[in-house]
Formats: sequence, C-alpha cells, structure tokens
Amino acid sequence: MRSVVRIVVIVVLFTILILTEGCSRDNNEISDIALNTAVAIDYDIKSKKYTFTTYCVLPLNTGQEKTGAFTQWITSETGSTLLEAGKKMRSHAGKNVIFQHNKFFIVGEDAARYSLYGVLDYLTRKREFRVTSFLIISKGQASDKLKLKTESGDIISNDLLGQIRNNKLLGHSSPIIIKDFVNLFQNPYRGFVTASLGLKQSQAKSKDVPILSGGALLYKEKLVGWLNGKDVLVVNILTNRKIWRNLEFPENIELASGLHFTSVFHVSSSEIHSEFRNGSPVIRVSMKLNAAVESVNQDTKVLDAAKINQMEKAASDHIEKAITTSLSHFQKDLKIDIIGFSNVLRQHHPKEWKVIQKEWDNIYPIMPIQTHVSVKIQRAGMTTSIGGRD
Amino acid sequence: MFIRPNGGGRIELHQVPLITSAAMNLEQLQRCYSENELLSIRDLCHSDLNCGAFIVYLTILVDEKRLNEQIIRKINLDLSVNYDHGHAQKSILETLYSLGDVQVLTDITEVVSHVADANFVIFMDGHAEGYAMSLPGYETRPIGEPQLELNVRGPREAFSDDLQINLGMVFRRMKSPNLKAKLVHIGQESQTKVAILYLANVVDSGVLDEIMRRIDAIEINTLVDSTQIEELIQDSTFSPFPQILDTERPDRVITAVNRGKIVIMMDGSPNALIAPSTFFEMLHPSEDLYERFYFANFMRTIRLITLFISLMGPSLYIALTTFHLEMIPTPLMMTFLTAKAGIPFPTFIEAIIMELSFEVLREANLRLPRVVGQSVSIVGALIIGEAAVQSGIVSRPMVIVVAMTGIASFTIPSFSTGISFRILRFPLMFLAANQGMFGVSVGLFLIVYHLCSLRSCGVLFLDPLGSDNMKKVLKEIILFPVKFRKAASRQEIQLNYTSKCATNNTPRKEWD
Repeated sequence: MRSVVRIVVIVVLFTILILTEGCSRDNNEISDIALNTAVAIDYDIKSKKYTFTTYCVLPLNTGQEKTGAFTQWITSETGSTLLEAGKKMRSHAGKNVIFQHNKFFIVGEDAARYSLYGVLDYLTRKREFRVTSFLIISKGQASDKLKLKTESGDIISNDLLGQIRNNKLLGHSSPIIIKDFVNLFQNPYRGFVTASLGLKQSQAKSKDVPILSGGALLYKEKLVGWLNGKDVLVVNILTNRKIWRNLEFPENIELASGLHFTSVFHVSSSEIHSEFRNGSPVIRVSMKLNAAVESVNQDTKVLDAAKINQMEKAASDHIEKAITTSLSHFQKDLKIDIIGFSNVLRQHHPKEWKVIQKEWDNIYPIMPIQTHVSVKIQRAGMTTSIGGRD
Repeated sequence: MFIRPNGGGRIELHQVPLITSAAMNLEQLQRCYSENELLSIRDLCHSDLNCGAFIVYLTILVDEKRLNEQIIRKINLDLSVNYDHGHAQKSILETLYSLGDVQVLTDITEVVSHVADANFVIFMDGHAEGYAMSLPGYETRPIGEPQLELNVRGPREAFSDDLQINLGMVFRRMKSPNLKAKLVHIGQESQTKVAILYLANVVDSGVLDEIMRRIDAIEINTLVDSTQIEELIQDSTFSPFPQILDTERPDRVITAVNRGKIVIMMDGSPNALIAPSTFFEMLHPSEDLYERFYFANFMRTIRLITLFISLMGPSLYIALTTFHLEMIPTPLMMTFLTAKAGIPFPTFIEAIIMELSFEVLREANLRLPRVVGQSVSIVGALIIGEAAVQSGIVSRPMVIVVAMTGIASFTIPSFSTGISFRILRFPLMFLAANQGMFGVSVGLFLIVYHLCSLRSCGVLFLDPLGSDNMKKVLKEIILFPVKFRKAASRQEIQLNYTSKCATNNTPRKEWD
C-alpha cells in the first residue's frame, strides 16, 4: 500500500512538472535574444542626461543554412538616469537584449569626467553585467566609436579583444576590468590608468578605425587626463604584473660608439622598495629585464663579452632614463601618484604613513625616487654577422 | 481419485505410489497425459514373448532413433539369446543397467517429471517401480558468440539456451571442487531447472542463505526468462536501476564466482544472473580484465564521462541555453545563436522531439529483421540528421547533443543499466526546462539519494563509494596491473537491515 501511495505521489509530481513547463519567468529562449557585446555610456552636461547605447549581434541567416553570419545592431536611448535609459532601450528593442556576454563598457569622456561614480555604481550593482568586462574610457563621444567599422572587419568587441590580447607586443595600453577598476576607484591618495579608446586613420578604410592606445588617467573618482603610450608602458612594467608577465616590448638603443641596436625586453622582476629617512619617504625602484637583440645597424661581434657588457649597460641606462622621465612627469607635472607608492608606504610603514598621510599631496611631488635597472642580454639571434665573416 | 482434474481442466498431481500392475500404472499415466498425443506407450518385447514390460516416453523429447536402435534392439537381442519366460524381466533389467544410469521411480509424480525431462520409463508387471533413463533428443541452439557483451580480446563463447551446455561451459573453466551447483525447480507448471552456482570457500554464507530463501519463496506458474527471477528476488521493485547483473558470458560468471558472488542460471535462457552486484560492476565489462591496465582504466574513465553525458546531455543543454546563457562561452553562444535562428520550437520541445524520434528509431531497428533494419536506419539518419535540420524543425546543436547522448548511452556495458539512464534522462529534461540548473541539481540529488539507499541482496549498491577504506575504493574503481590485484575482494554485507524484498508476501502477481 505504501509503495502504491509513493508511486501515485511521483506520478502527480511528474504531471505537475510537465504541465508547468515554460512557466518560469527566468527562461530565455535563445532564438529571441540579441547578444550584447559592447555598451557605450555617454553623459550630456547641459541636459544632464545619460545615453545608453548597445552594440548587439544578430544572426543573419536562418538555422538551416550552414554559415554563421552576423549582422550588427546598434540601438540607443536617453534618460535622466542610466537605469531609465537602459530600461527604455530594452523595452523599445525588438529582441530580448542580454548583457551576460558583454565584454566592454565604453564610457564617454564627459561621462568619465563629470559622472563616473554614478556610471560605475550602476555597472557594479546590476548582476547581469559581468565584473570581468573591461571598462574603457573613450576620447570624445563613446557611442560614435560603436558605429565605426573596425580595421579587421570583425565585430567591435572581437576586434577590441584582439587588441587587448596583442597588447603584450607593445604594452602601450592598460585595459582593466571593472572589478580592478572599482578596487582602485575610491583611493584618494593614488590615481590609476585604464585603457583609452581613440581613433586611428586607416590605410585601407576611408573612415577612421577605433584603436586602444595610451591611457586614461583617473584620480579621485573622475577622469583627469590622458597618458601617452610610453608613460602607460612605464606604468605597466612597474605596477601591472598581469601585463608585464607576458609583455615583450621593443626599444631602440644607441651606444656612444655609434652602434644602434633594437632589442625586445621582457621584465623578469619589478620591485618597489620604500624606507623613511629622517621622517621622509624614499622610494627605490629596481627592475630586472631580459633582452634579445633583434637587429644591429652595423657588423659587430655581438657575442663578444665586452660588447655585450657595453650593450647591456646602454640598454639599462636607456630604460632607466625612460622610467625616470615618466616618473618625474607623474611627480612634477601631474602630481598624481599613478604607480601606487602610497600603497607601498602604507603596507610597509603603517605608522609612518599615518603621520604623512594628510600631507601626502605635498610630499609626493618632492619625494626622492631612485631607479635601478639591470638588463641581461640572453639571445642575440641566429646570425652573428651577415655574410658569415667571423 | 489419484488425479483430479479441477474446474479449468487443470490437472493436479498427488503423490501416488506405483503398484505392481503395469497396466494400472500406465492407465494412471495416460490419465495425466489425456489429450496429449505426444505420449508414446510401447510394448518393449515382441508380443509372442509376452514379457509384460512397457516403455513410455514423450516422442519429441526422447531421441527415438537411439532408443530403437540401441536400447530396444539390445534388450530384444538379449532376450532372444537367453529366453527364459520366468527371467525375462530380470534379463531386461540387466540389459538396461548395462546401458546406462537407471533411476528407480516409485511414485507417479516422479514418473511424470522424468517423462517431461526427456526420460523414457519402463514399467513391468510385478514391479511396483518404474525404471527411467535419460535420453534427450531435442535440438538446442549451439554455442555462439555473445550478442550483447561484445569484446575484442578474450573468450568468445556465450551461453546458449540449454542449462546443461551452459553449466558445462562454466565447470570446464573452473575445475575446483569448491564450485558448487545447487539445483532447484521453479514454476508450478514449467518446472524449470534453475542452478545456483557459488565457490564454497569464498561465498558469504549469509548472502547465500538470503538468496536461497528468496528463490525458495518464488511462486510462479511458468518461468520463461531469468528476468523473472531477477525481478522476484531484487530488493527494490520500483527502482529504475537493475540491482542484479545479467551476463551471457561464461568467463564473466567465473570472475564473479571467484569474487564470492552467487550466479543463478536457468534452463531456457542464455542470461545468467550475478548477485549481489554493485553499480561499478555494471559499468565494467569483462573485457577490462583482458586489456592492458592503462587502456582499461582509460576506457573506465571514458565510460564514467559518457555515463554523465547519457544521463544529463540534453538536460544540461536545455538548462544552459534557456536559463544560464552566461555559462556558455561567447563564441559558442554566437554559434548557437545562428543555429537557433528561425527554429519555431522552444529548446525543450526540440529536445523532446529529437529524443523521442531517436528512441523510436532505436526500437524499430531492434525489432525489425536485419535486412529491413538497415534501410530503416538509413531513412532515420536522413530524417533526424539532415531533413529535420534542413526544414528548420530542429537546430543543428540539438542534433549533435541528442546523437552524442544516444551514442554515449550505448557505451554502458550493461544493457539494462543503460536503459535506466535513458529513462531518467526524461525527468531530468523536464526539471531542466522548468527550473534550469537548479532543477537538474534537484534531479541529480534525488538520483544519488536513491542510489545511496539502494541495496543488492544486502550489499550497498554504490559500494565501495562511502567506504572509509580508501584502498578498497581505488581497487574497485581503478584497475591495477594483474600483479597487484587481489583475487577475491568481497563487499561488506549488511543483511540486518529491514528487507524490502517482496518475497515475504505470498501469492505474487504473475509476471507477464
């Protein structure tokens, strides 16, 4: 009897299960969705309105055909808050726009300067947006960038992802994800850099194409300026281990003897030490790099020990100079602690830091920073000289 | 009356001793076999001799040619050589004993059962006994290759339908006197011979007693296949999982017996039952033991993966593509997006259509004669694979998922275990369409919960999982090189639980 009751219960439950198929509000049929891959957020200072622009992909073909072609679909709405603009956009869209696959939030220059907190708050509060998507600041209007064709002809998110992947070849950009962005966002003592989206004149296309180059400098919850590629490289090799671990950047080095050589550098260790001398902080930056000689302008015995020493010395000086120049630009001109020296001091000398904390804005520009770079040339290529002479 | 026909024409036999009159005994026997024209009663000697001896047998069961040429002829020859009226019967008996093993029957029920078992019985006037000798003359299927449990390397013999041949195959492989075979007859009408095999020095007597008790408690009219025994002695009647392993391979029986298992074989079925069996034994075919252990373990891993695919393939696909779009990598999502464009059905309906058509095809292929079967599979493959996609009824990824799931379910070596996973796939699909991954998790939890509570003749079905002896767990799941394998490792027996076996309740519903 008990087993009969049990079976009846199972059958009833199963029937209810079958009858309630599709009743869930959470289900989202894949044929009804538009896949959002990039979002542009703009802010108009005069009207104080936000513009929420989405870049979606839709399948061009039907399921029967074999090729998977896509069409791009850009839609935009304006509202007094981001939520309002977003809601409007979604309700006017003919498809169910989903944001789970969104990789890029491109924030317009005005939005970043005047209303970045509100934007970031919305992006982190909403579960649908991934905290691993990249937050990029655009020079000028962000929505314009979405409308541009990319140089590769691929959809913009794929093209930008490719650019981020290839950043390891030059290191002139510093893309960071929302999670890291938020961690750095509210620190009043230091600034940080994220990737900036600019335009480049295309050789093949009539219009400009969007590229990630240089950095957007953020300080005290807003955009304060732009950095060029060289400065971003210094920031990357000093602070961003995620980037310098794979980075191999080229430099052109000139020796006093008139020898020029190009070399690819890879950071093997990058450390920032701090100490207090007479109550004032002193920073020591030490960096070790490995190098591979890629080209030399004249016939030289590169494998000669004395020559290598000379070249290593020249390379070390060159990179040391580049770092010093950038650091002094940050210190003297911008007066913003982009590298995060304040963090190092706070971690290693918490008591002393408490004393100087309030005076940090005055101390930072005059703080002595010693830089020490050592380069080791590990490879010199396959040929020792053209023509095979020894 | 000794033999009482009841209302439905059914004959009930009562123990009636034979009497000295051969004619009376024959009359009784004829009454048992009334309306059965296969019963043959012959005078053993020439009518002139008048020796008063009769021979009785069922024409289709006994080898009549041998009976005539060797037995009756020899008896008559011997009689004619030293004919002495007073000692004719003695002479017949002497000849009979010289020809083979003679059984002396004293009861009419014994006579009936012997006649039914391909014996001929000789009655003689003045003897209150019958003399039976076995002379089977029916045809059985010869020993062939396994049909279901195929292998690349290892023994190729499979059981046939005859218990005698099957037992021979087992005993030829294991010569130890410890290998015991108990014979019982099951089925009130069919009186089917059932043999219970075990290795006396390894078997757990508790389990043996329990299985014997359950087999003794079986009440059934006709026993047709070993599935009936399996259903009648298993622990949980309504579980989707088979709790007793069946095999058609004698080598597997040997391995099982050697591990302390009890093997049940019956006449008329090529499937031997191995009890108690565990879940992992159902996942491991006998071929594992015949391959190098690297490959065997690799295949075991593959089989564990395919087990999950066959159980959860479509439900995971449904859950991911309708509830958890964020869990699919973007490039794959884009592929799904193009593949699903223009498909009129929701993913769940699509999955149901494809799964059902796959099952229909499989069933049709199984039932049809081989000649026609091939064309059905071609048409089916065209419909499922190409036409359904071309006409925009189902999407390509769904075809892949269903095909993959279907193929995965065939990698499970035990056919009946594979079936249970195929059936459980459907409720999981319903749960996935209803609640997404949450539903799938609930479904899986229920399945695992059920598996944990399941027992096979007192042994935990999921043994050795959950055992605190890590070595034992590894030994059961991973195959070590032969050097490091211990001959017999027994499961922990837990017989003191409250048995759910229904053999306690008498008259059971007839198995059909």
